[in-house]
Amino acid sequence: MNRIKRNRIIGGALLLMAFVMGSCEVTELEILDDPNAVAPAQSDIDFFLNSIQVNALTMFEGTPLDNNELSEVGMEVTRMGHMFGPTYQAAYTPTNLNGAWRAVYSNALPDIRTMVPLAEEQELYTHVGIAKVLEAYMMITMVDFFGDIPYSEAVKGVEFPNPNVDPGADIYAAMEALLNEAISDFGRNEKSLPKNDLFYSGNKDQWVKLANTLKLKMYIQTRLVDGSVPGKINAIVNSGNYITTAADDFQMRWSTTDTNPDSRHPEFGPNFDNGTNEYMNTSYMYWMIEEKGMEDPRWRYYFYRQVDVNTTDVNEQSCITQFPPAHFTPADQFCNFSNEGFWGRIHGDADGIPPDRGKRTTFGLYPIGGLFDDNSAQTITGRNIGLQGGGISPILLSSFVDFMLAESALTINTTGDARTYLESAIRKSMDKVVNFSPANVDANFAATQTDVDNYVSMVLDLYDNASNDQEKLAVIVKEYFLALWGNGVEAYNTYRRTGLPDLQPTEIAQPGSFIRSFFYPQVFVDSNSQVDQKTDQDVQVFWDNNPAGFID
Amino acid sequence: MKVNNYWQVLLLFLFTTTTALAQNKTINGTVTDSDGLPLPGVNVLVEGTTTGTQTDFDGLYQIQADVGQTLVFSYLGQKTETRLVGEEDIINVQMEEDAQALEEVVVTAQGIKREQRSLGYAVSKIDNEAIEDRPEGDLGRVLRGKAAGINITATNGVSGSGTNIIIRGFTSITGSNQPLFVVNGVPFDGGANEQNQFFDNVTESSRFLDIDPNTIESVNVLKGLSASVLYGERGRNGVILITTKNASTQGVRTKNEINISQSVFFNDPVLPKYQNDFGGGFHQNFGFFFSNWGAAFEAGVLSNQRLEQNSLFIRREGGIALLRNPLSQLADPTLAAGFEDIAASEYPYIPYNSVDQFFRVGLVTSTSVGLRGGNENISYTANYGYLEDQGFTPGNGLRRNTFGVGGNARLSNKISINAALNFSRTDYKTPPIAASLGSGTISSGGSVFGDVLYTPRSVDLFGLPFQALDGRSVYYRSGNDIQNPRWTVANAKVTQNTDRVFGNFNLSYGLTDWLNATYRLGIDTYTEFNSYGQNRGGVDGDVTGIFRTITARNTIWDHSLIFNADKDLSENLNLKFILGGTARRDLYQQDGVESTQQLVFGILEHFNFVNSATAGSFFSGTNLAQKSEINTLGVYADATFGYKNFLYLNGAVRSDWTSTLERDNQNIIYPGVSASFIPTAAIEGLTSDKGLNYLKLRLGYGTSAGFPNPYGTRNTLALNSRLLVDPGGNVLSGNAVSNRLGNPNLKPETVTEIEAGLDSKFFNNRLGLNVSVFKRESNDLITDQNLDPSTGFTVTRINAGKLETKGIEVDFDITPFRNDNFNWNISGNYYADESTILELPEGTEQIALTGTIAGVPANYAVVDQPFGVILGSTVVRTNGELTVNSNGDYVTGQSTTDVIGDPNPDWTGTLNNLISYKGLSFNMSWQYRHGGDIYSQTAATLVGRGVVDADGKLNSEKTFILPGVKQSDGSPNDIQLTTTRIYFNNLLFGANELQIFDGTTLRLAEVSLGYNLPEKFLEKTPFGSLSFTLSGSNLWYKAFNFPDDVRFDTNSISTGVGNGQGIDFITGPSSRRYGLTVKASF
Repeated sequence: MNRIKRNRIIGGALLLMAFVMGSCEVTELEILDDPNAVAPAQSDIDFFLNSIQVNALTMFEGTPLDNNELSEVGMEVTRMGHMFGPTYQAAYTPTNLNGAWRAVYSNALPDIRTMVPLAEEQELYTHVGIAKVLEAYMMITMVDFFGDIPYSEAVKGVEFPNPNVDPGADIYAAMEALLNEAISDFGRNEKSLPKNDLFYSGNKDQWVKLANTLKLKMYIQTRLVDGSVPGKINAIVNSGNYITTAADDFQMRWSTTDTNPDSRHPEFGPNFDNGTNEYMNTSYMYWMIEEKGMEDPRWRYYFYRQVDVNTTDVNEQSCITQFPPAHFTPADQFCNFSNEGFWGRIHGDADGIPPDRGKRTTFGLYPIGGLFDDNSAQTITGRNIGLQGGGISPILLSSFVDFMLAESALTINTTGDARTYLESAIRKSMDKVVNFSPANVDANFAATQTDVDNYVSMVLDLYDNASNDQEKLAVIVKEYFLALWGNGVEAYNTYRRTGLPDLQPTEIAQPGSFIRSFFYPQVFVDSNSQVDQKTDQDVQVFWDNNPAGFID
Repeated sequence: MKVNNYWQVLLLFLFTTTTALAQNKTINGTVTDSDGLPLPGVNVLVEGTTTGTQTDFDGLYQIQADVGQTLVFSYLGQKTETRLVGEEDIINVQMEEDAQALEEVVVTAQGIKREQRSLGYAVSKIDNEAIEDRPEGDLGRVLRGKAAGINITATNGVSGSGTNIIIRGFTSITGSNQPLFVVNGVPFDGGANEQNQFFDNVTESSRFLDIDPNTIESVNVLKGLSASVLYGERGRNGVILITTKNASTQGVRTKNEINISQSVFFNDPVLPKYQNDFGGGFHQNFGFFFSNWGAAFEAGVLSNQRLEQNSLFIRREGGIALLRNPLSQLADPTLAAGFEDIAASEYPYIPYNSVDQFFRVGLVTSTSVGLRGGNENISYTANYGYLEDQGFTPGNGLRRNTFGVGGNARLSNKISINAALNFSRTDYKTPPIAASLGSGTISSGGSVFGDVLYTPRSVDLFGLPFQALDGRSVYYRSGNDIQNPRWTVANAKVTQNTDRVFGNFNLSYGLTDWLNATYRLGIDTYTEFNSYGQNRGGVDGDVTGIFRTITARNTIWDHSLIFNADKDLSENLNLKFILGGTARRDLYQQDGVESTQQLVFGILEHFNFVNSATAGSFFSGTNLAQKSEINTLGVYADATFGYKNFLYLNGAVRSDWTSTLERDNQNIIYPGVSASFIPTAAIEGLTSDKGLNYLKLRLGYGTSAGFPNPYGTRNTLALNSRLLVDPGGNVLSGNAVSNRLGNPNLKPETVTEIEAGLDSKFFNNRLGLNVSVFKRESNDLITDQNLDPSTGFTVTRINAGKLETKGIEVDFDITPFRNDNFNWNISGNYYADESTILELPEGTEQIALTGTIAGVPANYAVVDQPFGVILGSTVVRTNGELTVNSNGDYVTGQSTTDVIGDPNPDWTGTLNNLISYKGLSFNMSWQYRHGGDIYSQTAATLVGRGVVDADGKLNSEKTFILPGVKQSDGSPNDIQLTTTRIYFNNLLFGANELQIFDGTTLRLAEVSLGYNLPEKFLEKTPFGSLSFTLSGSNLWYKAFNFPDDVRFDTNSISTGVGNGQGIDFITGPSSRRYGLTVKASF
């Protein structure tokens, strides 16, 4: 072979390589932007606000895939819902509240931090105000559940890879200031209102009312440790600029869309898509149905019975042949209190699950959007029932505000009459529940105005007959609990603040001390080298100066 | 790059080279071996020139040379011969075996053939005889036990399910530890594109399933880093080099030959052995429960008599209690509509063989046809394979068609081309297999096994309807809360249909007689069509019906240019040199739709569903559409100096650039060196026929790198187009700062390995022993570190952590007896390794290696613990004793991250026995695994629910005491428990450590009996050869420390293909396969 030919071949090979290596995408080494996401510069302020609102709800209510967040656990430990137990230690794993922690810290707050400067630049002050109010609600609630938590070092990425905690009181103070900032943001002229607002449709006045009500709530919450709160409460009450009517209720109304994404009440799917799931708490049902000798007009809206007679099969409900534990008093409910199918469980009942899914009592129409109990006593077999999950999350209702004001009027003499607040609170709650979805209520079983009036006057008699303020407070708080169905956050706070109502014992005699604040979530302590897990769950939050062992 | 461009260039290239220069004289001849048989493929070279040729199939050659020149005849394993060209025109040469003729030629990195003796590292070669005509069509599973150091685990027993392959232990914590597949010199994707977390459903195939093992010529496994350094970072987990028959350049044929083989196998499940004494219920009370702790079947027994007080009892007939039919007890009576006669019928309380009836014996047929032929310059091959593998699970089956063509051409003395192209179509379907904890499924998917294996003995699965008139699943429990497994088979399925094309094109040019250049193009592309569907009316997962389709396309383009030199620098010193460059491009793209709310029952098509989404509703909830793009560039050099024939030194270096890292960190250079010394060649008199025949000592040091998955260096903004639908029906979109904190400083992880070993032959080559020891260390491990969410992020990717693996591999080969007719060969291997985590990122106590489920054990990386240690909850100890509470049950501790087991086997071994007598051959292969803990929900559930007896049957009518001490005062436990409590409350639902079993297993992995018809029988037939083989795989096994009757197969892994091991969530039994193969050639 001659040299020329050989050179041509080598040339051909090099040409070929040049083709491959040079002109081709195969050599590109700058493929670093993820094609499956957008770049931070492409953000949209309205979209941020949507995400922030949804994450605030996730903290409160969880998601259909993980519905065991703050409101749910709050209901469980206060015997509104059923806690499996058997001890307070065993009731919740450290991973239990990871979802709430993530919703606040790694989801909502980074979005708020990123959005606020961009929104201010674009003069979208209402967006900013809403973000601040929601941040305040989230941080207050997280302090209420966990005590000291990160704030000043939080959400700073590589700057503080292990954020340390701030005292709960400092965070409360910062949130008060943040709410004031928000109120002034609402006072500014914005370029445009948010495209979507799940709570108040962009109504700035209502957001201001909420901001004031949150301050009111903080003051009442800290009444045990802060002597200055009565004046602050009075100032807000006197301004009248807080949530006083159902129209201003801070609530989320869910839709009936069950997929892509599931936008129903987060409790609805887990309880009705594949058969019922959670147990109702026997003692809470007992309060509503039997205890007063008069049925609470709301019970048919709260619960649905799948059977109307109790089982006699021990395999289905093992407690029917058992005696109450020795530490139960005759007043404490064990197993069934009637023979009408109110099939629930008592606090800390950790038995295995018998084949009772088609029979146990389940959530009703209010607030998660299930069925009204019209004595039909049918096994629920599908999701197309009642409001189909188009319920509400009652986060801060006008009735709740009146209950709180009744408490503060009674205990720290703030303005107004406790008895008047109590009556108005109960009536607001009844109105809300009874008129929640009349279309889904069988008129034959609906609560009438007479039922409500009778109930109210009976409660007021109880109040009037109470021999001292503590007993009067017990009446107020018990009614507050009955109105709080669907909101475990305020139930949990109220129980620790007032030690009321008197709740029934746990099934086992020594369940360990009551959860005065929850263990830090596993995602926090496992990945943060600065912070250690609490040694026990009886660590009290800063506004709880009640003695140890005060509640169980 | 368009394919067209290549062909234009290549054509240009081809036409530039045609003629060879004329020489004075033409010489012909035949080259034979020492037995006088023709030797094809011998290199014939005119010394000092670039003129050369090879002998053809009949050993013939023709070459032109001048008188006075010298012809050099060389062939690996034979002594090189030289002949001076004189007057004669014919030069016949009989070659002689090299005295050190134990030279095997092996394929090493980049397809380069090397004499085994020159290698400073271990390469395992597996011949086609060990791969062909096996009852398994999955190459991964066929390779199991074939060489030391390769750990192969099936994800479950379903035909077509994925296979996990780990070579020499683990090197990465969160990265892939799966080996690189190289087919005919070019990369081949062997991944399993798992579309879910394993607990939702894991059924995806490993894509090496697309290769028909019958088309494979040979498999070489490069285990160590000094062997795989030329493959770059992707070779760090070992390389499986596959040469298919259509790409093989060995044995060029001049005659046309057709090979046909046909196999039929039975696929027979190994099911638990169920007990027949007790039926469903609890504490000896009968009930239609999940558990089988109910009344005895035998009429005389007390618990059976108590049945008469049960509200379901009707009467007795012949001692057998007749009960009300469970169908009549459903809380939702509409389910039984149309089955009133069954609901009204009396239900005998007897044991039913529901599970055995549910499964079947599958039939596996495999056909392969091969054709090859050609002449000395051009040869071709073509093959076709067909596999129909019917699973033992109803609804499961695999069908694979493979076509391949290949050709070789020597266009002139200097240019040769070979190319192979393969097409495969693999269709696979199975019912869904989600993880189960012994009480229905865990998560969003359905599971055919999780609902059937612990069926109570008194449940008549085949006597009850499984589907209501409106399509809903119906079963025996009043709440109807178990999906009937027959309904699952009829109404739920996962499919995966794959079309794949892969091939390679090689162009070689001899620049000089010692230097040639090769350009190689590899393409591997497949499209995988996945579907997951379940009709409405189920119990597991979305009851409105779900149908999800995902189409994925994966493409690998690979270009290489390699210069390969082989030159004698002096009489004693030889240099082999390789210089290469490679560019690889990986593209992956998938698109998908998920629909829910089925309209017409039974039709799984998107048009029949109300809702469609582009995000999955299963746990991950991720977008179904995804893509990624990775480019890797590499250049490498490799030099081997050979001194005489006893000392070889090799040095290699490779430099890689990746597109997955920022510019400052995208390049890494890593070297490797190795040496091989053959004392038996260096030192005269060291060898003797009856003693040592051959000894090689080798030492290697290799390094490699690992690049991260793409897109981990920059922050992104997650966009969710459908965040929420408000009550007005408006769709709200959201954007949010992504939870992943980008790490721009991320750099490659590095791995280094030292390997030493010896290869030896003794006693007239009757004993062969190869030993390797290695120590591997991974540094700067690329690890996803969980962040405290209060930083604003939940995860970032960092370089931290250190992992060390030490191991030993032994292969041996003994021939106790051999003569012309009878041969007995024993061979086997032994392997032990230990992977230990030395460091983790600061502040990190453990890293989960797989998806985790709250409260359920999983594999973790923990400092100073073996890789993958299983963490879970333990029983509280009091003074070292197990502690019971006031009920007499074990007390479970608070922590869910105590070490409860080490899933790594202590060692594994294989022992093969091959006996042949004339045309008969008998082969038996045993495999043994020593140790390695398994968290087994199958065993815990079957025993804990009372359907299978634990070892040593407990009398359920009596009470027992758990060994341990009381929590109250530390005194020995004396609290009596029923067997129900012992097994149900403690074994099944007690602390996780109670569900850990030791995985020691002995297995009869393969047996075959073959007969080759003698040639004289075939003389008057068209057959060139004809053989019959009876063979079986996995015929018997015993896991010694599992409850016997569970018959648990330790060769399974519920966490899918990945870094999990020793975790079982009831993902199904395995099977034994046996059948007949007939092979013929024409």
